[in-house]
Amino acid sequence: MVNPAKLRETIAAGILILGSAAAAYSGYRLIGVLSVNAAIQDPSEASLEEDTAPEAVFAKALAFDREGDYQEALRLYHTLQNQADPAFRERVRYNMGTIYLREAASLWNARGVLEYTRVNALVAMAKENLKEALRLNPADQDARFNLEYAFRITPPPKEKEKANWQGTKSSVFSTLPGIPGGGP
Amino acid sequence: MRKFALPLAIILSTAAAFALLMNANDAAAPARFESQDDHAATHTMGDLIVRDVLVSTGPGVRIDPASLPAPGALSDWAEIRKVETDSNEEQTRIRFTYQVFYGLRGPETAELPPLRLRFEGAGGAPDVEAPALPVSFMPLIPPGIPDEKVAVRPLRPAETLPISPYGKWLALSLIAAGAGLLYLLWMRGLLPMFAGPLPFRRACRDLQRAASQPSPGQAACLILHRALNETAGEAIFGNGLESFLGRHPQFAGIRGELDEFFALSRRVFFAEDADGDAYAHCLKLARRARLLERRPS
Repeated sequence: MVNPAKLRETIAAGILILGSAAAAYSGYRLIGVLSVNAAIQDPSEASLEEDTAPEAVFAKALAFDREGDYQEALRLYHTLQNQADPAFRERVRYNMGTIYLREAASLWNARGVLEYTRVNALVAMAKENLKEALRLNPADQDARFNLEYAFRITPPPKEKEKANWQGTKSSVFSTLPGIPGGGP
Repeated sequence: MRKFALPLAIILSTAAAFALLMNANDAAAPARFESQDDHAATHTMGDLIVRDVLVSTGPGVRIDPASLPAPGALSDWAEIRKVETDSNEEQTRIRFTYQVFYGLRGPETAELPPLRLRFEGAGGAPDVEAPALPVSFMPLIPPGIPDEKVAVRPLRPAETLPISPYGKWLALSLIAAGAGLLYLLWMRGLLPMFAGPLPFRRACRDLQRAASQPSPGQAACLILHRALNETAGEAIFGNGLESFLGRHPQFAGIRGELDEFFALSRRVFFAEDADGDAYAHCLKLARRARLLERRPS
């Protein structure tokens, strides 16, 4: 026969232990989230480690881009493009595409076809990333707009260079081997 | 008349064979393209376009899944995202979901390519072709704006992580742990604001106060008797100890000390014995009982 008072005491002790464990776990996670949020709010102070939260890396990449180091920003975004969360991946792809597009647009508007190769490469990267962003979220209006702009500034296909050979008919024959001794 | 009999028989048998063949063909009921949605809507960059192709089929005729295009790039501006089929005895509906990335500067029309679908059945069935589907497009960027005036849409900001689930869990778990702790404290009489301390806890406190009295042994015995009586709800004597322990089994572990206490009490009050170590004995017993006592349910 179980003593009811003892049973109640055991249940209360169990609730106390479980509640304490849950409180400790929640507190630990809460502190983790708060520290990530602090790194997001002020990414310039945050240092990047192996286990840095993806959103903090994203914020750091934004900070690099704001400071003008877009290549470092792209390098960081590249490390994030295989994250599991599709919404997060979409934002990463959108930002990558938009950075490539912005650089391509500034070159295209400043130099035009003179920078054909670089603009073409940058626009191709912009299109690839913005298309991926739209595959992940077809409703993304900003990605649609930027992708359309990427198509607008795609340089026209370069004409195949004409042959630059200046030879004459006689010079062709002069290169053919003759028969020694002037044979028939 | 006889000379026409053989040719007539040949003609009739040929006609019969042809009729039989025609019937067999009808029975096979080859698949036939019926319709597909006409896309009157105008689309923009990144849109999903759903194309429903309806094919009528005879019994036993079904689409060959290998003839369906696989999801992926279809052309330089269209991709197939999903292909779904829904068949019954009379028709097969094939739903293609495309995503289009058509670059343009003004309104344009393009065509989604025709589809060749293969069906298979008992009598065999020819391929079915769904014609090309014209789709209208219009630009998102107004056509009149020069390229250098177009402002690229800004980058996405970083999003702070939500703290709400952890804050809620923390609050709930703290409430649960606090409730358990309060109940345990209340049971052990450690919450004086709720109905005062338990008898032996109060006895311990009173015993400490009685230490300075001229004969603390007698006072200590009185205090301990009072605590026992209060716990039992009636006066307890040495001969009633067993029934007391039956009702309060938590004190069974100090049965010996309680027996000794009743003997000691008799000596102190009736044998005119000196106090001796009565006080110390009572204090020790009260402390042990305090650890065992629980608030009654």
